[in-house]
Amino acid sequence: MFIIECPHCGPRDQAEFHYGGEAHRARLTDSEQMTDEEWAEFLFMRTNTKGVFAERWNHAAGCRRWFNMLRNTATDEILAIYPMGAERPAEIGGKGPATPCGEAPIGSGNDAAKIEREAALMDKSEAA
Amino acid sequence: MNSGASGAGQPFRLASGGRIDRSRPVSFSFDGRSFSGFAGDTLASALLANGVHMVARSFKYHRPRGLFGAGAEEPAGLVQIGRDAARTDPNMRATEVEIYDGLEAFPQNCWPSLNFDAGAINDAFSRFMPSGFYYKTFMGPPGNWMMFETFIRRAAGLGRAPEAPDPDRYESTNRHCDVLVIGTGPAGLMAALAAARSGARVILTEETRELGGALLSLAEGDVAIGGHSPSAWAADIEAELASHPDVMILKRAAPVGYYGDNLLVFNQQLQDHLPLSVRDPLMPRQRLWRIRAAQTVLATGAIERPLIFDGNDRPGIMLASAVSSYIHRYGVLPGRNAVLFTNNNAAWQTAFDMHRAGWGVAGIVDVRSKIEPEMQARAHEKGIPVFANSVIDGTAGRRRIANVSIRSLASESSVGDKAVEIACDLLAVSGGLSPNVALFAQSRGKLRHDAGIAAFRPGPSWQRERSAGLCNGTLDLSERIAEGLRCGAEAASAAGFATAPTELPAIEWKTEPAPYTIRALWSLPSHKPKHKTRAFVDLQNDVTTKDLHLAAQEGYRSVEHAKRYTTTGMGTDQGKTVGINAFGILADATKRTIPDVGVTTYRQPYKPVTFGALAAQHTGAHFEARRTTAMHEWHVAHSAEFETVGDWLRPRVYPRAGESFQDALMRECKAARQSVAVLDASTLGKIDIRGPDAREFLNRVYTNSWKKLKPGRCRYGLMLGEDGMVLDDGVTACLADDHFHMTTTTGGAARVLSILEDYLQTEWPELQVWLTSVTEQWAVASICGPESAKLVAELCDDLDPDPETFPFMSLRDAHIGGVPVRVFRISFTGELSYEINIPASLGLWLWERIFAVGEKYGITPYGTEGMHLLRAEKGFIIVGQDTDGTVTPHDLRMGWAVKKDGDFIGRRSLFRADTIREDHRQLVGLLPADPNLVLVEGAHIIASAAEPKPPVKMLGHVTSSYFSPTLDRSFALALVEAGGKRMGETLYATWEGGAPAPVVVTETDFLAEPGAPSGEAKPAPKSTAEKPQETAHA
Repeated sequence: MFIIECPHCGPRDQAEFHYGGEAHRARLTDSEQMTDEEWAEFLFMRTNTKGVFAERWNHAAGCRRWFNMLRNTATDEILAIYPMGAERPAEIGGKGPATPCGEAPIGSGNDAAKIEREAALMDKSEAA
Repeated sequence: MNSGASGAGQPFRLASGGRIDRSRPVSFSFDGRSFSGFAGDTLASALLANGVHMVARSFKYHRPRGLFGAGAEEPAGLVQIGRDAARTDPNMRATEVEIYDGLEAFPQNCWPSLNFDAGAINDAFSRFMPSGFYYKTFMGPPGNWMMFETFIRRAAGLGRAPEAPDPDRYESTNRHCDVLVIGTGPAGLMAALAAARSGARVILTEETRELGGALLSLAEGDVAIGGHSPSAWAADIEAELASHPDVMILKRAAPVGYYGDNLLVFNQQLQDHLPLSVRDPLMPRQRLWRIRAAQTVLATGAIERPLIFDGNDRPGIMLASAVSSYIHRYGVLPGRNAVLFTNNNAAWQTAFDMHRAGWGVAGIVDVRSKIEPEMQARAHEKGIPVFANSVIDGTAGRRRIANVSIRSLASESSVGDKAVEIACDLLAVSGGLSPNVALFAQSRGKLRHDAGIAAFRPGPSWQRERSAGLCNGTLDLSERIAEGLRCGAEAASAAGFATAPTELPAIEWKTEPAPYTIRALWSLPSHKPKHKTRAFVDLQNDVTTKDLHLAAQEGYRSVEHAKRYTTTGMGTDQGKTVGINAFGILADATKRTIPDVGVTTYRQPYKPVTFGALAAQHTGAHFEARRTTAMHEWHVAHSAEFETVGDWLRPRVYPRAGESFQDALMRECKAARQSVAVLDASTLGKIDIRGPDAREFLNRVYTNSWKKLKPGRCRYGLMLGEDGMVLDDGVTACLADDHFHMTTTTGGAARVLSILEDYLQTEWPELQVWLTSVTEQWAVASICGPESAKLVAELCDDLDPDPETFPFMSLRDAHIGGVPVRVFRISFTGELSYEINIPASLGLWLWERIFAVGEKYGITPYGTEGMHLLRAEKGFIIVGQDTDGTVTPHDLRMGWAVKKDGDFIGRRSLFRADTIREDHRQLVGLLPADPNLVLVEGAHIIASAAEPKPPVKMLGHVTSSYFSPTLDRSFALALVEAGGKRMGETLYATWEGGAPAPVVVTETDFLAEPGAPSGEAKPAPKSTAEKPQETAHA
């Protein structure tokens, strides 16, 4: 239960918001020209990112406004909140969470994230 | 041994000491026997005072189990509280239940009795029940599980769940604070004090009934803190905290979990400690606190681990720290002749405590080879024999420990030949202290393995928290207090409060304790071969070292897998006393280090929580609100049978006295077709749409065209999802060029508004359109039947209802008794209809007026069942009944409602190769050959009169089915493969318990047959047809 800073109402509990899936998936206007496969790709397929992800949120139990949010799905860290129609902030999108195994540094649910490993152990697992 | 006589005997109660009120005796019962204790006792301390150790049978093998701990960590001493079917609590830790007059407690998992338990036979077969027993056995021939299940369910398990509705009240509440301190031992108290003095809003939580934590388990004379005894020092701090207006102290509040953004949840017991007779039924029994803290200080203490040796699960074996707690906190000596078995020096204090209490200590067995000389000397001077570099490798005693066998260690994995046998009635064990890092780990902080204390302690934090004291791996008392002070001040300053320096209290020990040393051997050696030993790692789930070795041998290298395979650390205690013992044994078994093995995930809840507390006040109507219309009272007064539609309660039929449901339905439907009837249609979703682009917006969200709809006219629309499937339908009226009144299905109203808002805000922000839900602003009476025009003419002040001048699918403003109303000429029955919309506050007034005026026309109220039947006769769909999320407009054979040009939501999907398949299921009518046979809704449609052997080719299913009083026969709607091309074909409807019934495929408008009553026919051509109003289920 993290807190989301609604751009219109201020910080509110996550329970007040509805999740709206991946952001920046504009409805296509040239769908007539698309093959069934391309249309199905647009309609049904979404990326399932572990790490920084741009997604839509709606303050459903508040102002009912939609907005975009950049969130690290591995850590629930909220990196940016920006209006519908705005571009994804580029400077944040560039750097993701980086660990030797490509995992988010903390909170990803695996053993590497739960305990702090000694340097020697890290070296060993990297070698393996 | 003096086994607890009933009454005030309490043979194991010390003459003085303890934080109990000896002036207030309390009588309670356990397993049907009466006992006496004192106010301030827990069930465990009171039972021990009476000499009762054995309180339970174990989960799997039904072995006798005693009280093992003294607090939340208790794995074995689980009891059932109360016998009432509604008010009984299973799996309560006897160490935490406060006794009150009349308390009734019962042992669990034993039958017929605690002392003679039939299930104990499992113990004899234990070697046939290794870890994974259930998986292994029941992966066998199918049917085995069915056969064994009854036996397993009875034999394995813990307490009984209550069977009647919970009569108690519960409550949940939210709080914000600057500094939240969890735990009230020396570190927690000091942290709270430092934060409080800064002026921060502080919440301090304690899971027992009084503040002090570990301080309350210290001997009063052994140490002085700031010149006071430990408990007096705690009381002083409590008094100062209570004087700060912004400090809140929650007692009996156990943590449930640590969640994101410093949200912590606590379950506070408010009345559980009171006799039933004095509990206030108007006050909550428990309260769930959701606390959002700017900064958190964790001071959750440490949990002592058991030692893992053969025969370590007998009643009378108890954690050393628990023994000290019983002596100092409750004035109870759990045994008269004790042995201490430890691998660290901290536990020696327990032996000295027991000795000072005046009863015997038969020996100290220490795994360590190097014992501090001054401790040796203290033991010697008290005449306590010390066995260094030794282990206990066997115990005896059936329902209580009677004897231990001690051997010296030959190596880390073997023992010497010579055994020393000592008789005892209590074995205090200590495998070292594990910082209680559960909440820290839940906060997603990383753990760090500390070889010095052979345990995990908090590493880097993830949230705004800090750990102080024992839970941080800090063991020395003065350091714990200093750390509490530092953390409290840090938290307050991080929350934006200036802190003044607070002085640390002086700590004066009578005998300064030696720095902590430990020799951790996870699995202690025995003279017996490994397969003959039973050394329990998890007392609650009956997991032994053998089970863990077996799991390792079978390839369960991941600690999470091994946990699930063996059930180690699962159950109601979540393995509070298991933890690193299991990880160490797995590490040994797989030849890895403990950090390499890792830890299992610490999950919420920290302790079991009653469902009542989680549901809190959100039960019944507070959980699921029922919406009723303005006319509801009238429906109730006229004996309506109700059904729920979405959140709404709607009248289904209005049976008269002595009338059956079916008779009432037939009467209502006949009235609607032959005279005049009225439906309360207020629940329809209504959305007010305004703005210069409103028309264009409708054009995009509905499948049909809205370009030419004139003000004063209405149109039926189908709404699709982007996948092309029918989502909702309804009639929208044009009030002005930039103002429309949309209706949706009753159950779909909120969803449709959300979807429309989504498109407006995110896809088409350029459109100037504003949406407002007006569902509850209008009450709606839908009057239909041949006589309806006469009734409406009489009802309205200024409306000519003549269908010639007020045509179908149009609307007029009018007045009734001077009240402005909107009248729509729309119909969901196919009959001449008028739908009157009036401000909701006047809904009942309108309704009563309709009946007053309509009496002479025989006005009849009809409910949703009649509405469903009447619309089905005309083949009008109900979204959600005749559609199921896989149905396109073409499948409904409503292609006329889909425009050829221009985009709309879902358009592209209508041309997918799959959606244009010829053999899609399509909506058709069915007439059963037997006119009295009403098909079962959901019945399968097949092609042959006899049901062939499976797999049977299913052509479709029945979606709506009724007996029509107008047709005087049964009829149905169905989705049938390529149905549109099957007109006149005979198919068969089949369902369980009946032979396939022949049916003839027809068009969906059953009243369009020659000779049917004249109705509101669909205008030709079909492309401009108006599909009347929809009133549908969710």
